[in-house]
Amino acid sequence: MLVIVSLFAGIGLGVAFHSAVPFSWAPYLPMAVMAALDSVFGGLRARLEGTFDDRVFVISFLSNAVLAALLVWAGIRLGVQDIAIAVVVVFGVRIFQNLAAIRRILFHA
Amino acid sequence: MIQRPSLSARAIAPALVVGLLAFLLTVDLRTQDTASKITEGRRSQLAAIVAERQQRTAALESRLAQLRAQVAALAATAGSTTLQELQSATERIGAASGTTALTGPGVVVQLTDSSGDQSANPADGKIQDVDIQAVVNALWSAGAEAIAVNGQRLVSTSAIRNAGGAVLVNFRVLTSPYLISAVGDAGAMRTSFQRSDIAKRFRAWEQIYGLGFSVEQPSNIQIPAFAGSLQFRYARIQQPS
Repeated sequence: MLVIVSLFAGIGLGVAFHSAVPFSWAPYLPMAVMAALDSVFGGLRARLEGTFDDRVFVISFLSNAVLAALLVWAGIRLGVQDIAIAVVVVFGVRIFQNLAAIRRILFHA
Repeated sequence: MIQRPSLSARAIAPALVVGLLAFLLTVDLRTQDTASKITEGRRSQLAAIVAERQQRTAALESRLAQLRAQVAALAATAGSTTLQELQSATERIGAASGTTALTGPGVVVQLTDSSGDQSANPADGKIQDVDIQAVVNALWSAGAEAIAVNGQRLVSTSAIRNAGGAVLVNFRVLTSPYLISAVGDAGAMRTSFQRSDIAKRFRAWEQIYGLGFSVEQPSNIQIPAFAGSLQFRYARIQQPS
Protein backbone atom coordinates (compact mmCIF):
# COMPACT_ATOMS: atom_id res chain seq x y z
CA MET A 1 0.00 0.00 0.00
CA LEU A 2 2.68 2.36 1.07
CA VAL A 3 4.68 1.32 -1.99
CA ILE A 4 1.90 2.35 -4.35
CA VAL A 5 1.49 5.69 -2.65
CA SER A 6 5.20 6.22 -2.83
CA LEU A 7 5.21 5.29 -6.53
CA PHE A 8 2.68 7.95 -7.38
CA ALA A 9 4.39 10.44 -5.09
CA GLY A 10 7.66 9.81 -6.97
CA ILE A 11 5.98 10.33 -10.35
CA GLY A 12 4.29 13.46 -9.12
CA LEU A 13 7.50 14.90 -7.73
CA GLY A 14 9.30 14.02 -10.96
CA VAL A 15 6.75 15.88 -13.05
CA ALA A 16 6.81 18.86 -10.72
CA PHE A 17 10.54 19.15 -10.24
CA HIS A 18 12.04 17.90 -13.50
CA SER A 19 13.29 21.33 -14.38
CA ALA A 20 15.14 21.55 -11.06
CA VAL A 21 17.61 18.95 -12.31
CA PRO A 22 20.48 20.70 -14.11
CA PHE A 23 20.42 20.10 -17.85
CA SER A 24 24.06 19.09 -17.86
CA TRP A 25 23.11 15.98 -15.89
CA ALA A 26 21.10 14.68 -18.86
CA PRO A 27 23.69 12.09 -19.98
CA TYR A 28 23.95 10.55 -16.50
CA LEU A 29 20.27 10.11 -15.77
CA PRO A 30 19.67 7.11 -18.07
CA MET A 31 22.65 5.35 -16.51
CA ALA A 32 21.34 5.87 -13.01
CA VAL A 33 17.95 4.64 -14.16
CA MET A 34 19.46 1.46 -15.62
CA ALA A 35 21.32 0.75 -12.39
CA ALA A 36 18.25 1.48 -10.28
CA LEU A 37 16.09 -0.79 -12.44
CA ASP A 38 18.65 -3.55 -12.00
CA SER A 39 18.51 -3.36 -8.24
CA VAL A 40 14.70 -3.18 -8.29
CA PHE A 41 14.44 -6.36 -10.36
CA GLY A 42 17.06 -7.92 -8.13
CA GLY A 43 14.94 -7.05 -5.12
CA LEU A 44 11.84 -8.47 -6.78
CA ARG A 45 13.64 -11.71 -7.49
CA ALA A 46 14.94 -11.90 -3.90
CA ARG A 47 11.44 -11.29 -2.62
CA LEU A 48 10.08 -14.17 -4.68
CA GLU A 49 12.93 -16.43 -3.63
CA GLY A 50 12.43 -15.49 -0.01
CA THR A 51 15.87 -14.06 0.42
CA PHE A 52 14.83 -10.41 0.47
CA ASP A 53 16.80 -8.18 2.78
CA ASP A 54 15.62 -4.61 2.81
CA ARG A 55 18.99 -3.23 3.87
CA VAL A 56 20.70 -4.91 0.92
CA PHE A 57 17.95 -3.65 -1.34
CA VAL A 58 18.17 -0.01 -0.33
CA ILE A 59 21.95 0.11 -0.25
CA SER A 60 22.36 -1.64 -3.59
CA PHE A 61 19.79 0.67 -5.17
CA LEU A 62 21.50 3.84 -4.04
CA SER A 63 25.05 2.68 -4.60
CA ASN A 64 24.32 1.24 -8.07
CA ALA A 65 22.74 4.46 -9.23
CA VAL A 66 25.47 6.69 -7.85
CA LEU A 67 28.33 4.47 -9.00
CA ALA A 68 26.94 4.10 -12.51
CA ALA A 69 26.66 7.87 -12.86
CA LEU A 70 30.15 8.32 -11.42
CA LEU A 71 31.58 5.72 -13.82
CA VAL A 72 30.07 7.50 -16.81
CA TRP A 73 31.32 10.87 -15.57
CA ALA A 74 34.84 9.52 -15.07
CA GLY A 75 34.78 7.87 -18.48
CA ILE A 76 33.78 11.10 -20.19
CA ARG A 77 36.48 13.05 -18.33
CA LEU A 78 39.10 10.46 -19.27
CA GLY A 79 38.06 10.61 -22.89
CA VAL A 80 36.58 7.12 -23.14
CA GLN A 81 33.87 7.51 -25.73
CA ASP A 82 30.73 5.48 -25.31
CA ILE A 83 31.51 4.33 -21.79
CA ALA A 84 27.75 4.38 -21.41
CA ILE A 85 27.81 1.19 -23.48
CA ALA A 86 29.56 -0.63 -20.64
CA VAL A 87 26.87 0.42 -18.16
CA VAL A 88 24.09 -0.52 -20.55
CA VAL A 89 25.58 -3.93 -21.34
CA VAL A 90 26.33 -4.90 -17.74
CA PHE A 91 23.05 -3.78 -16.23
CA GLY A 92 21.08 -5.00 -19.20
CA VAL A 93 22.56 -8.49 -18.76
CA ARG A 94 21.79 -8.47 -15.04
CA ILE A 95 18.23 -7.26 -15.62
CA PHE A 96 17.64 -10.10 -18.07
CA GLN A 97 19.10 -12.64 -15.65
CA ASN A 98 16.84 -11.41 -12.86
CA LEU A 99 13.82 -11.41 -15.17
CA ALA A 100 14.59 -14.98 -16.22
CA ALA A 101 14.77 -16.08 -12.57
CA ILE A 102 11.47 -14.29 -11.82
CA ARG A 103 9.88 -15.94 -14.81
CA ARG A 104 11.04 -19.36 -13.66
CA ILE A 105 9.61 -18.80 -10.19
CA LEU A 106 6.28 -17.40 -11.36
CA PHE A 107 5.53 -19.63 -14.34
CA HIS A 108 7.75 -22.64 -13.62
CA ALA A 109 8.86 -22.22 -17.20
CA MET B 1 -8.52 -9.84 11.40
CA ILE B 2 -7.73 -6.44 10.07
CA GLN B 3 -4.11 -5.97 9.47
CA ARG B 4 -2.84 -2.53 10.30
CA PRO B 5 -0.26 -1.29 7.86
CA SER B 6 3.05 -1.32 9.68
CA LEU B 7 5.18 1.76 9.53
CA SER B 8 8.30 -0.05 10.61
CA ALA B 9 11.59 0.52 8.90
CA ARG B 10 11.15 -2.74 6.98
CA ALA B 11 8.11 -1.36 5.22
CA ILE B 12 9.46 2.11 4.61
CA ALA B 13 12.62 1.07 2.81
CA PRO B 14 11.06 -0.54 -0.28
CA ALA B 15 8.50 2.22 -0.49
CA LEU B 16 11.22 4.84 -0.39
CA VAL B 17 13.18 3.03 -3.06
CA VAL B 18 10.20 2.70 -5.35
CA GLY B 19 9.43 6.37 -4.85
CA LEU B 20 13.00 7.29 -5.71
CA LEU B 21 12.91 5.10 -8.80
CA ALA B 22 9.66 6.66 -9.95
CA PHE B 23 11.15 10.10 -9.41
CA LEU B 24 14.33 9.22 -11.35
CA LEU B 25 12.40 7.71 -14.24
CA THR B 26 10.05 10.63 -14.56
CA VAL B 27 12.82 13.22 -14.41
CA ASP B 28 14.84 11.25 -16.97
CA LEU B 29 11.91 10.99 -19.36
CA ARG B 30 11.11 14.68 -19.07
CA THR B 31 14.74 15.76 -19.52
CA GLN B 32 15.34 13.62 -22.61
CA ASP B 33 12.11 14.89 -24.07
CA THR B 34 13.18 18.49 -23.56
CA ALA B 35 16.63 17.78 -24.99
CA SER B 36 15.29 16.33 -28.24
CA LYS B 37 12.75 19.14 -28.55
CA ILE B 38 15.48 21.75 -28.30
CA THR B 39 17.67 20.20 -31.01
CA GLU B 40 14.70 19.72 -33.31
CA GLY B 41 13.68 23.34 -32.92
CA ARG B 42 17.21 24.62 -33.59
CA ARG B 43 17.61 22.44 -36.66
CA SER B 44 14.42 23.61 -38.32
CA GLN B 45 15.19 27.21 -37.36
CA LEU B 46 18.60 27.04 -39.02
CA ALA B 47 17.16 25.41 -42.13
CA ALA B 48 14.53 28.18 -42.35
CA ILE B 49 17.21 30.88 -41.98
CA VAL B 50 19.33 29.33 -44.74
CA ALA B 51 16.36 29.04 -47.09
CA GLU B 52 15.35 32.65 -46.45
CA ARG B 53 18.87 33.96 -47.09
CA GLN B 54 19.09 31.97 -50.31
CA GLN B 55 15.86 33.53 -51.50
CA ARG B 56 17.14 36.98 -50.63
CA THR B 57 20.35 36.36 -52.56
CA ALA B 58 18.40 35.25 -55.62
CA ALA B 59 16.19 38.36 -55.43
CA LEU B 60 19.24 40.62 -55.11
CA GLU B 61 20.92 38.94 -58.07
CA SER B 62 17.93 39.52 -60.33
CA ARG B 63 17.74 43.13 -59.15
CA LEU B 64 21.42 43.50 -60.02
CA ALA B 65 20.79 42.14 -63.51
CA GLN B 66 17.92 44.59 -63.92
CA LEU B 67 20.04 47.57 -62.89
CA ARG B 68 22.87 46.51 -65.17
CA ALA B 69 20.44 46.28 -68.08
CA GLN B 70 19.13 49.75 -67.24
CA VAL B 71 22.66 51.17 -67.19
CA ALA B 72 23.43 49.56 -70.53
CA ALA B 73 20.21 50.89 -72.04
CA LEU B 74 20.86 54.40 -70.78
CA ALA B 75 24.44 54.35 -72.06
CA ALA B 76 23.32 53.11 -75.46
CA THR B 77 20.96 56.03 -75.98
CA ALA B 78 23.63 58.62 -75.40
CA GLY B 79 25.34 59.82 -78.55
CA SER B 80 28.82 61.06 -77.82
CA THR B 81 31.77 59.40 -79.57
CA THR B 82 33.79 59.02 -76.39
CA LEU B 83 30.87 57.20 -74.85
CA GLN B 84 30.61 54.87 -77.84
CA GLU B 85 34.33 54.09 -77.68
CA LEU B 86 34.01 53.37 -73.97
CA GLN B 87 30.95 51.22 -74.76
CA SER B 88 32.80 48.97 -77.17
CA ALA B 89 35.75 48.78 -74.78
CA THR B 90 33.33 47.73 -72.03
CA GLU B 91 31.88 45.05 -74.29
CA ARG B 92 35.29 43.60 -75.08
CA ILE B 93 36.30 43.70 -71.44
CA GLY B 94 32.96 42.22 -70.42
CA ALA B 95 33.42 39.28 -72.73
CA ALA B 96 36.82 38.59 -71.25
CA SER B 97 35.96 39.27 -67.62
CA GLY B 98 32.67 37.43 -67.59
CA THR B 99 30.09 40.18 -67.18
CA THR B 100 28.68 39.64 -70.69
CA ALA B 101 26.83 36.58 -71.90
CA LEU B 102 28.54 34.78 -74.76
CA THR B 103 27.51 32.31 -77.40
CA GLY B 104 29.40 30.16 -79.84
CA PRO B 105 30.59 26.66 -80.71
CA GLY B 106 32.29 24.55 -78.13
CA VAL B 107 32.14 21.52 -75.91
CA VAL B 108 29.82 20.48 -73.05
CA VAL B 109 31.13 17.98 -70.49
CA GLN B 110 28.48 16.35 -68.29
CA LEU B 111 29.36 14.73 -64.96
CA THR B 112 26.76 12.86 -62.88
CA ASP B 113 26.82 11.13 -59.49
CA SER B 114 26.52 7.37 -59.58
CA SER B 115 22.94 6.22 -59.18
CA GLY B 116 23.46 3.21 -56.96
CA ASP B 117 25.54 2.02 -54.07
CA GLN B 118 28.44 0.85 -56.16
CA SER B 119 31.26 0.88 -53.66
CA ALA B 120 31.95 0.64 -49.96
CA ASN B 121 32.60 4.37 -49.63
CA PRO B 122 29.51 6.40 -50.59
CA ALA B 123 31.69 9.46 -51.26
CA ASP B 124 33.26 7.60 -54.20
CA GLY B 125 29.96 7.71 -56.05
CA LYS B 126 29.61 11.49 -55.85
CA ILE B 127 31.20 14.06 -58.12
CA GLN B 128 33.48 16.22 -55.96
CA ASP B 129 34.74 19.77 -56.35
CA VAL B 130 38.22 18.53 -57.29
CA ASP B 131 36.76 16.56 -60.21
CA ILE B 132 35.04 19.64 -61.58
CA GLN B 133 38.21 21.68 -61.01
CA ALA B 134 40.25 19.18 -63.02
CA VAL B 135 37.77 19.18 -65.91
CA VAL B 136 37.64 22.99 -65.98
CA ASN B 137 41.44 23.19 -65.92
CA ALA B 138 41.70 20.70 -68.77
CA LEU B 139 39.17 22.72 -70.79
CA TRP B 140 41.07 25.98 -70.23
CA SER B 141 44.29 24.31 -71.33
CA ALA B 142 42.45 22.87 -74.35
CA GLY B 143 41.72 26.40 -75.46
CA ALA B 144 38.37 27.37 -73.98
CA GLU B 145 37.53 31.07 -74.13
CA ALA B 146 34.74 31.05 -71.55
CA ILE B 147 33.43 28.38 -69.18
CA ALA B 148 30.25 28.03 -67.14
CA VAL B 149 29.34 25.27 -64.66
CA ASN B 150 25.57 24.64 -64.39
CA GLY B 151 24.94 28.22 -65.47
CA GLN B 152 27.54 29.76 -63.17
CA ARG B 153 30.03 31.76 -65.25
CA LEU B 154 33.63 31.34 -64.13
CA VAL B 155 35.36 34.67 -63.61
CA SER B 156 38.69 35.56 -62.11
CA THR B 157 37.39 35.33 -58.54
CA SER B 158 35.30 32.18 -59.04
CA ALA B 159 36.03 29.26 -56.75
CA ILE B 160 34.85 25.70 -57.18
CA ARG B 161 34.73 24.40 -53.66
CA ASN B 162 33.20 21.93 -51.30
CA ALA B 163 31.21 22.74 -48.19
CA GLY B 164 29.53 20.09 -46.06
CA GLY B 165 29.52 17.58 -48.89
CA ALA B 166 27.94 19.93 -51.42
CA VAL B 167 29.69 21.50 -54.38
CA LEU B 168 29.69 25.30 -54.48
CA VAL B 169 30.56 27.46 -57.48
CA ASN B 170 30.47 31.24 -57.02
CA PHE B 171 29.06 30.43 -53.58
CA ARG B 172 25.97 28.82 -55.10
CA VAL B 173 25.18 25.20 -54.27
CA LEU B 174 25.13 22.95 -57.31
CA THR B 175 23.89 19.40 -57.61
CA SER B 176 24.39 16.52 -60.01
CA PRO B 177 24.24 16.50 -63.03
CA TYR B 178 27.01 19.03 -63.62
CA LEU B 179 27.11 20.58 -67.09
CA ILE B 180 30.43 22.25 -67.84
CA SER B 181 30.07 24.34 -71.00
CA ALA B 182 33.13 25.75 -72.73
CA VAL B 183 33.09 28.00 -75.79
CA GLY B 184 36.02 27.72 -78.19
CA ASP B 185 37.33 25.74 -81.17
CA ALA B 186 35.02 22.74 -80.74
CA GLY B 187 37.00 20.12 -82.63
CA ALA B 188 40.41 21.02 -81.27
CA MET B 189 39.08 21.43 -77.70
CA ARG B 190 37.32 18.08 -77.79
CA THR B 191 40.38 16.20 -79.06
CA SER B 192 42.69 17.87 -76.59
CA PHE B 193 40.26 17.33 -73.71
CA GLN B 194 39.70 13.63 -74.50
CA ARG B 195 43.47 13.16 -74.35
CA SER B 196 43.75 14.91 -70.97
CA ASP B 197 44.51 13.09 -67.73
CA ILE B 198 41.14 13.83 -66.13
CA ALA B 199 39.22 12.50 -69.16
CA LYS B 200 41.15 9.23 -68.99
CA ARG B 201 40.48 8.96 -65.26
CA PHE B 202 36.79 9.65 -65.70
CA ARG B 203 36.49 6.96 -68.36
CA ALA B 204 37.95 4.54 -65.79
CA TRP B 205 35.73 5.84 -62.98
CA GLU B 206 32.69 5.35 -65.20
CA GLN B 207 33.35 1.62 -65.04
CA ILE B 208 34.57 1.38 -61.45
CA TYR B 209 32.23 3.75 -59.59
CA GLY B 210 29.41 4.22 -62.06
CA LEU B 211 29.96 7.96 -62.40
CA GLY B 212 28.38 9.60 -65.44
CA PHE B 213 30.78 11.18 -67.95
CA SER B 214 29.94 12.46 -71.42
CA VAL B 215 31.49 14.96 -73.84
CA GLU B 216 29.12 16.58 -76.33
CA GLN B 217 29.76 19.03 -79.14
CA PRO B 218 26.53 21.03 -79.62
CA SER B 219 26.44 23.48 -82.49
CA ASN B 220 25.65 26.46 -80.30
CA ILE B 221 26.49 27.00 -76.65
CA GLN B 222 25.10 29.80 -74.48
CA ILE B 223 27.26 30.94 -71.62
CA PRO B 224 25.49 33.33 -69.23
CA ALA B 225 27.04 36.44 -67.73
CA PHE B 226 28.43 36.36 -64.24
CA ALA B 227 25.46 37.05 -61.97
CA GLY B 228 27.27 38.11 -58.83
CA SER B 229 29.09 41.30 -58.04
CA LEU B 230 32.79 41.91 -58.30
CA GLN B 231 33.98 43.97 -55.41
CA PHE B 232 37.59 44.79 -54.84
CA ARG B 233 38.34 45.68 -51.26
CA TYR B 234 42.12 45.32 -51.41
CA ALA B 235 43.01 45.44 -55.12
CA ARG B 236 43.30 48.95 -56.52
CA ILE B 237 43.58 49.90 -60.14
CA GLN B 238 47.19 50.38 -61.06
CA GLN B 239 47.64 53.59 -63.00
CA PRO B 240 50.00 53.33 -65.95
CA SER B 241 53.20 55.13 -65.08
